[in-house]
Amino acid sequence: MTAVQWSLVTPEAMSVLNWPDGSVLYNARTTTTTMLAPTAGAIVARLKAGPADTDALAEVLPSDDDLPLSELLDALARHGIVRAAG
Amino acid sequence: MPLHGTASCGPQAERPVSPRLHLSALPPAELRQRLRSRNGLRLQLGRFVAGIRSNFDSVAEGLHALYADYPVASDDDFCDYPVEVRSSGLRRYVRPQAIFRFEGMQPFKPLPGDQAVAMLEWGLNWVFTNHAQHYLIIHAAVLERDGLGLVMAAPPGSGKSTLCAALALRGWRLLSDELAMVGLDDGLLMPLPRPVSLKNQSIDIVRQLPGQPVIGPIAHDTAKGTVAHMRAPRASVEAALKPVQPRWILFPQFAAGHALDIEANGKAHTFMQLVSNSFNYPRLGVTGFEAMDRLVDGCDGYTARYGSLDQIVPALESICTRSA
Repeated sequence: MTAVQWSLVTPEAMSVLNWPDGSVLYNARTTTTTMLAPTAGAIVARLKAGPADTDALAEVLPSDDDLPLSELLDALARHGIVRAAG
Repeated sequence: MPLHGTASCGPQAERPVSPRLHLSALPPAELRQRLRSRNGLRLQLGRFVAGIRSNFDSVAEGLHALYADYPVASDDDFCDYPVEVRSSGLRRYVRPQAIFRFEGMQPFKPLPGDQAVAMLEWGLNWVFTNHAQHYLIIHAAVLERDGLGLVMAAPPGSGKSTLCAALALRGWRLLSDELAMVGLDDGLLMPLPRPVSLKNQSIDIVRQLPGQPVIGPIAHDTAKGTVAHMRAPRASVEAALKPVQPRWILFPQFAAGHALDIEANGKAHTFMQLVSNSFNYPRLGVTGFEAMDRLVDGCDGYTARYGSLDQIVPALESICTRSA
C-alpha cells in the first residue's frame, strides 16, 4: 500500500518564514498572509521542498508536540494550505 | 489638463539638490502670491517636491509657522505631488469650505474653512500613502538615535504622536510622525519629516515639554477633535535626505494611569502587527512580503504599555542605547 503523500496546494506561490514564536506564510496566488504555529510552519517549510508522506513529516515535528500530526494536516488542508495526493 | 508635472516617485529622487531658499525667507505677501500662482508653492519635503496651491490666507500662515525651515524648490524643479486646498464660488465669502484636490481628484469631503491647514496635512498624508509606491508604507512614527531607526507603529489613539513629539524635542531625529517609508530595494527608512499631528489633551502636554515646541494653528471641532501640529525640529528637516537603518520596532499603547510594562515581541508577531498597520503591503505582493521580512529580521520588537511620558521616554532611551 502506498503511503499518502502530502503537498502544498500552490507551492510555487507560497513563501514561509519561521521564527521561534511562529511562522508567517505568504501566498502570492491569494495575496494572503497567515500566521502559523511553529509546528505548522515546520510542516509547510518541509513541504515547500517537495511532497512528503506522514512518516517524513513526523520527523520535522518536535518530540514534545502534543497535537497529532493528522489533526495538524487536516487543519492545514481546511485552510487550503496543504492537500493529500495519491 | 494637469497644471503640474505628472506625479510619480522613484528615479527623480536621485536628482541633485542645489542650495535653496527656505520658506521662512519668503515675505508673507510673496508666500500668499506663490500659493495662488499656477505652479503653487513648491516645497521640498524629504525627497519629494510638493506643489501647494491655496487661496486661504490661513494656509499661508500655517505653512509659515510649521514649514519655516523647509527648502523652497523652484518652478523649474519637477513637482512630484501637486496639491490644492481652496475654497470656491460663493463659499469663499459665506462659511467658506476647504476643498482638497490632487491632480483633479477630490478624495475627501469639504471641511470648514478654518480646518484648511489640518486638511492640507491630512491630504499630504493621503497623497504619500497612496502614491509613493516605491516604499513599503506603515502607519508609524519614525525617529533616529545614534544612526539607527525606531519605528513606532500603532493605530490612532495609542499615544504615538505625543511620544514621537517628546522624543523629537529631546534630540531624536524625526523622520516622520505618520509614515514609515521602507525602501523596497535597500530596506532603509526614508525620511519624510513633517509636522507632528497632535490631538486634544496632547496639544497642551506637548506645549509644556522642554525643547521649545512650536505649535501651529489650532483647528477645533474636527472629526478628530481639536487638532494642531508641532513643527519638525530644524535639524530633522536639514537631514531629510539621509535614510536610516531600522533597528527597533515598538508598538506603544498609552493608557492613563497604567504602570510601565515593556515586553519583547517575537518576530512572527511583530511581522503580523506591522502588516495590520501597513497601508500598501497587500498591494505590493511578494515584494512587500520580502521588504517586511527584511525589516522585521533586522529589528528588535517590543510592546510598551505606559501611563505617562516620564515612564516611557527614559525606558526607550535605555533600550535604544543598550541594544544599538
